Amino acid sequence: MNSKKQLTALLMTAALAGSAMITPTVLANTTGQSIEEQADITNWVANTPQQISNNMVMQHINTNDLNGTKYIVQWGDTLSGISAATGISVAKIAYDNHIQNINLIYAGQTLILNKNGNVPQNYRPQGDPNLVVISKTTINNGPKNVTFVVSPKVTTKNYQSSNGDTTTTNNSTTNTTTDNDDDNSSTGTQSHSKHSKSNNSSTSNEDMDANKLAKQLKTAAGSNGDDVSYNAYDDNDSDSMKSVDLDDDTDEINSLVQKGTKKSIRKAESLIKSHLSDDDDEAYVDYQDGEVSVYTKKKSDKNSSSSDDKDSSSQNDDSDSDNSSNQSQDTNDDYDADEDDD
Amino acid sequence: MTTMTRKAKTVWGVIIVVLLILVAGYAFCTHRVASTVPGHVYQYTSVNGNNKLYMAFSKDSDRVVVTADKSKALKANQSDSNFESIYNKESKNGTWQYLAKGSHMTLSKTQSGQNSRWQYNRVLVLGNKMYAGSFTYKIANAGQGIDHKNTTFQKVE
Repeated sequence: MNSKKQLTALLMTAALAGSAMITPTVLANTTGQSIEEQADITNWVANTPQQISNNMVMQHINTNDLNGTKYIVQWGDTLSGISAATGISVAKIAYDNHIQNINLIYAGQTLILNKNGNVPQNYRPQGDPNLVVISKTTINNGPKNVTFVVSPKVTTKNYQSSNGDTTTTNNSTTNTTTDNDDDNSSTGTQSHSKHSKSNNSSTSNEDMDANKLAKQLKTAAGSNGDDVSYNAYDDNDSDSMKSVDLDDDTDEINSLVQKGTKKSIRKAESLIKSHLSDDDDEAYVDYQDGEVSVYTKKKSDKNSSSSDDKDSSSQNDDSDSDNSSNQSQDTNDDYDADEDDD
Repeated sequence: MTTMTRKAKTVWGVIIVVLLILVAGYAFCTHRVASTVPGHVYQYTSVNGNNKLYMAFSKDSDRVVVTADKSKALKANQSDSNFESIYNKESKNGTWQYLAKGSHMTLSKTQSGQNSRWQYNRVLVLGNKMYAGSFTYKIANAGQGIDHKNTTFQKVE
């Protein structure tokens, strides 16, 4: 009996010790927040300079005496907010902390705040100082796919330019399904490089990518009797492409492609075809983030089909002049890039 | 087979009516978000209950001012011109839009060409409060998933 009690006590102690050892690793992601808390919208809204000042007070920092003082970056902080709260310029903070890309500041990171000293004149940190700090780990609590039942028409505004053009970038999707390719490991999410297309593209139809979609549409075009050749869209050719406006059929085409059956692909193909000009015998398709984008070659490129005039205009310039789906894709491309890089 | 007594029938009838009322009431309350939020300011409380932010929903567009500063949200709600002014000022920290439909409400933030979204699911409107049973998120440079934690929105006037 006595040994039974001892055994029970031992097991309970082991269980308690085990849970105590496991819990901190779960919470030790960034600034002690759980995955659920990290995803909360409050973490992704910029803190006011006053809030940042309050955070500094909590860390026993006197903003009037910043001489190599260490500050632990909090969720919602922005570099511009820290600058406003301390009176130290964004460039100075970046310089003192050897930060080249100011978009890559993490919650939980320690910043050195120093009011003394100067910044070399040619020092120009890259990035947007108004971005809220990011998470050092991927925020994903399990599901690989997320579905947005409702979503506003996303409008982007070019704040960098002086004219402040506003462009509507995607339609009111009723079904945007995405797939996180990461393995939920604690890898950095800092890469902002343009994504490279992979076979594991972010779609609800997990195997679907631009290449596969092009093949399926090509087959469907044959079945439908449409003389259109479908090819996979290549980012490198974006200068010579123009986006095809799918109008109100965007959602239907997306959902048909997501279904992925022969019948649905045939229907999608005929819908796409209805948006092409009669003289369009080649179409280029992209499939990212559960959304289909269709492109055709620009007339001039069609005629000359030369690549000698690859001008210096950026893809963004191109997308501004094109219709919304192109811009939308750009947005999502950037987005997926970061996730792919995870 | 025994026949049901009149009393039993009445009891069952009442139970069915009460159930129908409850189901209809729930359905009604979970489909009010679209008509409830436009033109109002809500205080959102985070999943851990420690953080708050304020949302001023435009009554005639899909724009919403999302800020940690309560006074800004309230000021934005005072007039169209105030809303315009504050929305534009705040846009350096990202432009926010919303869409409420059925029992869902999605908030979208676009900044530096990147978009993040939070969709609140099973939004139940009861008086001045809204309760969301979960939220689906896709955050630029961060990740995506579904959070099955309750969150609360409280109307601020």
